[in-house]
Amino acid sequence: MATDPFDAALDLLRRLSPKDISQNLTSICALAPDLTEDLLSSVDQPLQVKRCRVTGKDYLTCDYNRDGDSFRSPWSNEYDPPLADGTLPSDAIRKLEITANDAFDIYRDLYYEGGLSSVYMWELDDGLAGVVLLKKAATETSKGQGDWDSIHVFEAQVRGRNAHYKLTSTIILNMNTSNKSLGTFDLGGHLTRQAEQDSLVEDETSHVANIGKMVEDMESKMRNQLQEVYFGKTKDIVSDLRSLGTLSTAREEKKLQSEVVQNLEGRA
Amino acid sequence: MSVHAKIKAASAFLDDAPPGEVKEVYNDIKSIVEEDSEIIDGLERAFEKYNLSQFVTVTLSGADKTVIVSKYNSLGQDRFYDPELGKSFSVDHKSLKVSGVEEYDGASDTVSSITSDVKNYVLEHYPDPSSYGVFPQSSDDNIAIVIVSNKYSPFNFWNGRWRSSYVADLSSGSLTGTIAIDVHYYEDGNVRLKATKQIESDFKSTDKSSIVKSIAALERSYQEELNREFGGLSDGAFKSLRRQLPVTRSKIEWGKAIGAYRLGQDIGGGRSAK
Repeated sequence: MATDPFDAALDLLRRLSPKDISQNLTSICALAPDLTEDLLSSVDQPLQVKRCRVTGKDYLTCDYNRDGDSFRSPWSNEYDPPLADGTLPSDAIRKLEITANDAFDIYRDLYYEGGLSSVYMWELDDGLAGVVLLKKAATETSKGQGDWDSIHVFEAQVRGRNAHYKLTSTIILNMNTSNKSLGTFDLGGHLTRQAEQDSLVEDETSHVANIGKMVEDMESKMRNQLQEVYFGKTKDIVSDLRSLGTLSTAREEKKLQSEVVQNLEGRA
Repeated sequence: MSVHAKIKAASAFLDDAPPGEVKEVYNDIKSIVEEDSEIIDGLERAFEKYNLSQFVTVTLSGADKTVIVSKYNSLGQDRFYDPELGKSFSVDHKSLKVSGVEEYDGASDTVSSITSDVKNYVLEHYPDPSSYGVFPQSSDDNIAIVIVSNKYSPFNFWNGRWRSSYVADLSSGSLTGTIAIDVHYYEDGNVRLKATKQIESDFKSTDKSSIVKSIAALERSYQEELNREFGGLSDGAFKSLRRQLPVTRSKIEWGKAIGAYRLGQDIGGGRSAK
């Protein structure tokens, strides 16, 4: 049975070097142009930075604030390059978007002590949806270089005074070092997690607090998972490939241990 | 896009296939190009390149060890040799099927003695399934030593490969080579480690047994350096990207009062620039 080309493309991107994801995506789209739109809207790529023409402030771009070749600034609500008929959120959603950008700017400052954040929102038939973006780079060469990109896509289905929230979070983390004694060391990729939750909605701004808490919890959890996978699991796999100690000693120790256990069991 | 360019793009995918995932990458490519035979048939060279650079191993019937396929033991036209087994053989690069096994020059005394050192070293430091090869190059003074160690655990969503290759010059005592590590972790994500170190070292040209001693010391110190790097990045760059908790040591009070954080900072002359 042949796999669906779209599923095959996603599987391929899950296998190939994550740091080349943008290049690989371009190549797949060149091989199978029909997949382009679907892939661009479902594959998370490292966030790009653009400067708002109106406010002079930097903002983050992704597929969610893109219309054609233009990107919408969260600070001015204007498209760059300008679009006469670019998709804009309703006044009510835009108001909420401004509140969310303010709140996540504070969140960014408290947790990242630098970096950039941008929030984009749009309406749904039964609620609203949006994306929270955060980006930070660590460039101290003595401690290695690192890049962190968070992409939190959320949906809120509103039913009276309650809302059901769905959150899909991807964190792209790339770290690398290059020096004479180590050679080149390139450790990068992404993890994706999902969460759902019901929360009370007292007024429109409740959404920002509810989503804020969810994103905060999710990032704390994922930060631990990233630490475990990048610096624990990966290191363990390297130790599985080559043993620093001699294997004969390890085998001897194992044999001795099982003899001790056998003796103990024999006595019992 | 021309067929040639399409083959090039698909070949680059194969080239980057993680350890133990070539077949999956190949199947994905086939689906993406919808079984276009012109592209699929054009991948033959990409398979060969992958096998030679990744030190793919094959089994000769009746042999008690696997044999590495590399540029160091290539005879051209898809034929390879192994002095330890005293055989040469053909490999189909796509299926890795071995055929045409023939007798081949066995190892010289020098090659035999280095092979035995390498074998003992690999037994002590590379868990199964690992493989090695000691291959004399054009002149008998140049000996290539190749080691590969694979661990595949697809049900736990990870795979890894360690590759070392060296050329020892017996007359000058120079030892040059490369150590390369490739680890893939892909449970609900895609994380890849690629680490490479170029080696330029030496050994006592009067003492053949110092070659493997030199390699053992080099690889040990490299692995220790790697382990320090995991810790260094975790305590260094990773920590400076995102804090575990804000300086306040408690989670954020979301809601309408969130603006107070900014106010508080301004009053206290906090970190942010005004």
